[in-house]
Amino acid sequence: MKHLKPINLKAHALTTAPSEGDRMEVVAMQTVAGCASTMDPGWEVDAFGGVAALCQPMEADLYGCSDPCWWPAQVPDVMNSYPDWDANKSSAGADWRELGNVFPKR
Amino acid sequence: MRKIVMFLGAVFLLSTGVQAENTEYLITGTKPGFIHILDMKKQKVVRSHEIPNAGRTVFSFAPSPDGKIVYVLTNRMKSIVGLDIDTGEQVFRADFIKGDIRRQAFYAFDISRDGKELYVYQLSTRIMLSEYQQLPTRIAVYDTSSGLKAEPIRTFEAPRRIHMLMKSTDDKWLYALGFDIYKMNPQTGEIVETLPLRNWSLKNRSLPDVLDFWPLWDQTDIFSTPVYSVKTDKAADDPGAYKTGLMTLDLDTGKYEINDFEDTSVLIFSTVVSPTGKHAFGTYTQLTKIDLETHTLAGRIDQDHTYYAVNISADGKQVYVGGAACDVATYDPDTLTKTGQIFLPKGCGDQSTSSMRMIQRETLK
Repeated sequence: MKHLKPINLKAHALTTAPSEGDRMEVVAMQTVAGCASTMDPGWEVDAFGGVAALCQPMEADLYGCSDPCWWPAQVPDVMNSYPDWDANKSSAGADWRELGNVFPKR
Repeated sequence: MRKIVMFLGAVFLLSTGVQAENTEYLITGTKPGFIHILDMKKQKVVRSHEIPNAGRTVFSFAPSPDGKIVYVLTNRMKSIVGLDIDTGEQVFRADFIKGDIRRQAFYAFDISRDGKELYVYQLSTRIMLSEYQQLPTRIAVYDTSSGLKAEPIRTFEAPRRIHMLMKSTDDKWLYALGFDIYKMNPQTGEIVETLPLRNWSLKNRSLPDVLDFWPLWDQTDIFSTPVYSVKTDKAADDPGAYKTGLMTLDLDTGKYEINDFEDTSVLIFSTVVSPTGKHAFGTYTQLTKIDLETHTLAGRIDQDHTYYAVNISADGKQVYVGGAACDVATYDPDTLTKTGQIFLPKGCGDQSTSSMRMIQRETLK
């Protein structure tokens, strides 16, 4: 760090070691502040290490998982950045082809 | 004159013993924001109402005790809306977000047995420029007569990770299901008793695994949910090491118990206790029947697809599965054969994780 020089307030704050109790505790978040912050990797395997006990078919499960942000890795963050991802696509079984990829907004 | 006619009419009805006909209905919801009222005996949808500003999401429900209003967690978990079941009119709305504090309810809410208060578990986060500041989790209490701009009439902090709130039948207690089950004073939030779940004292047993946010106790006032655990004194490759049990909490008496009923062989998401008291039924990709007297598996069949929620008729003669995809299926509880299937209208949208509640009320015309 001695070769790096802070150039704004936040960076400067990082260089000064706070004493115990001066800063707020870091606590694990509950869910649903946003999908991207949900620490849930999604389901690639079932509880038995296979796939037979995953929801059948997967379309029966898609909105059940994405609406409450259970699938943060596999679907866009419908809670924050892509709330319209499912617009006009109310049936996963019929509309799954329309549930597309998204790309960061510039 | 009109009052006199109405009075005479009431006297006539009382004297002849004629009463308004009552019918049992199932309530579910679909994307992008509808509730549906189903007459399960006639196997048809009798009402569908659009939820205003639903954000294309429908989560948990709580019907009023008279069956006239249904409260819905909606709008990406940021609002609870009360809809008149007869007309679809929005009669109550609580939008949680205020300023830079985002509040969302992760399924857990319930209505008091007198219909006057809603209890909502809220996750609060202050949205800052470059960080989320986690605020204490809380229960907010709303007056159901507050109209369309409802604000909490009181709040109190509550333990983290609550996913189910349940009011006792005498309205004296509020049960909150999280790591354990907390019995709370609904006025102050004081925890007067902790029913052990994560802190259970079973020897040679792992921590229990429980996931449930389906309020399905309408017919019995008994909340039930599957509980998964591992016997640590058995080899990891021994199928007998993995146990599925059923937890029941009687919201009337407070009786609480957990009983294993099989070596884990399938997943079950939600369960319902039959009004007969002899069996419980569970659903996921299979429909499971559990004997409550012997605590054994009584039957199991494959369903057409995965369903999340299971409920039952008041006479215990029909079992309903739904809460995923866009249909509600009916099964015979004795033979576990499918006897009906209703596809939901308004585009056959997904139920996502919608609750499936049962009400009995004056027949809808």
